[in-house]
Amino acid sequence: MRSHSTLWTGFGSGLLAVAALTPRKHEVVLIDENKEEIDFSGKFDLIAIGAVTQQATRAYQIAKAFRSNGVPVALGGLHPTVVPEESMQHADSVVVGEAEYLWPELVRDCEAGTLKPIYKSDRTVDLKDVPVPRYDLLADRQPGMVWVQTTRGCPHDCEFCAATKVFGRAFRHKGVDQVVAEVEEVKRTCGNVMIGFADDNAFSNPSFSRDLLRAIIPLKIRFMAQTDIQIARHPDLLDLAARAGCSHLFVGFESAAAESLDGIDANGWKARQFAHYPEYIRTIQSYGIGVMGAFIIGLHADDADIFKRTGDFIVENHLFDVHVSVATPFPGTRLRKRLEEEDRIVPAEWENYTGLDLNFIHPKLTKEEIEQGVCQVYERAYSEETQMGRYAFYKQMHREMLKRQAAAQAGSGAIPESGPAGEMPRKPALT
Amino acid sequence: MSSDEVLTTVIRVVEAETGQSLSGLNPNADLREQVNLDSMQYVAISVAIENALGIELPIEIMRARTFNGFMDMVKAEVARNSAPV
Repeated sequence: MRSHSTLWTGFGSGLLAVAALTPRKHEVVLIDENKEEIDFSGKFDLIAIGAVTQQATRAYQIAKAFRSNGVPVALGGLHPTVVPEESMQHADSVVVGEAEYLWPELVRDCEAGTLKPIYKSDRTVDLKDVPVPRYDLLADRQPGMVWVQTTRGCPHDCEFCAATKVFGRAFRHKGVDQVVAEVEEVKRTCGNVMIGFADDNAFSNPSFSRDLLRAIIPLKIRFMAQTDIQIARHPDLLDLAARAGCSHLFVGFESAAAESLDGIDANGWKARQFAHYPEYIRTIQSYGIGVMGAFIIGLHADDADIFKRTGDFIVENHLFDVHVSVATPFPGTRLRKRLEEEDRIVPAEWENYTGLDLNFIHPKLTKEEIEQGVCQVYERAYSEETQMGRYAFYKQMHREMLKRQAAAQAGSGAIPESGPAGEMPRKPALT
Repeated sequence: MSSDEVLTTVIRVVEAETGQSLSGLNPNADLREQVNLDSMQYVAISVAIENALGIELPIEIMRARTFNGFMDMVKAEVARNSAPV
């Protein structure tokens, strides 16, 4: 199976951050190969390539082409960070981990002609040291969505996720003023565009999130964010998020089968939430916020029934959007380590690590069953019948929300900043 | 309500919800792309139009792609509601 190369819309903020770390005396050219051709004969002093695993093979091809023309290449991002020895074979330099304290040194070395093979820091980046990404480089590209990172780190350490290896489990966040400056820069350069908060787990720190959401309400943006389901336990956060322009939340449910969640994260947290999923989803939706669900097919306990169960979950809970992927043993994950120990990895090129291909031996399902089953789930999730039901449901939720807002306003004569648990948000009426 | 009044109401609602002027809109091109509308905004706009015009839009309106296509369905619903029983 071949997927399109961008699973997310919009240009990631990683290279924009690297561009911001580059001294302004240098001209920075941004090339998104998903949308434009690379000029391999261009006169460049240094090429920086960011790659996740699926893109690694192509990143190495690009690096080879530039290096053959005498242009030095630096590789960074998730994949080179977790397999630096491999990446070093294809580049002049590899940046391991977060770039903020490393890239300025690499640029200086490049200017001096003394690039080192690897740049690695043991210091965790203080996010207050992170400059505003160069969103101006997106200005003439009319992006559908622009990513803004507010936090790094996720406490869950899920078996399938390598992000913890890069950013750690400790939660770090930028300053509120810093994020506001970034959002204002996005608006200035890209106009009225959907903003995606590119955090592994936004709202992990409710106190920070409250301050941030209050600060962005006046900016009148539309945004989505990735979070875990525990935000449903914080009605005041949902209220603020709705008033700050939250369109939808991306939530990793991971599975529609409770038994498949056993052992998926370090503390068994997600398995304990399973029974509450419908109630929590409904709570989020009641604030006029859509819930986009992420599911992984091919977890250890999955059997042939998982496709129907996943489809049922999506339809019954009126999920706004879905992201269904195949369990993938990405390098750097605990899943890969376990499957290697069990000798169950099927050799495959990195370009087959699409999140839609099965690259290991599953105990109950074949590669064909899983890949076809994922397509069936998508077909059901986006059938006309499902979409119409979803539209009617969210309309009803929106009507109820407006009624409660009106009742609250009539009762209090004012619009409170946030309501008690279970009550609806009080954002002003739309018309 | 005249056709022009319906049009004015719809434009007012969409502009209020999106914060954008529709003055440069191509009414025969994709509405959602031009205004960068997300699905939840589309829901909010639908409900706001229903409240403003006292109608209930048919579910099929989610299929409307252009502003003119959207307006045709809104006007048809207004006409249906104002027709003598």
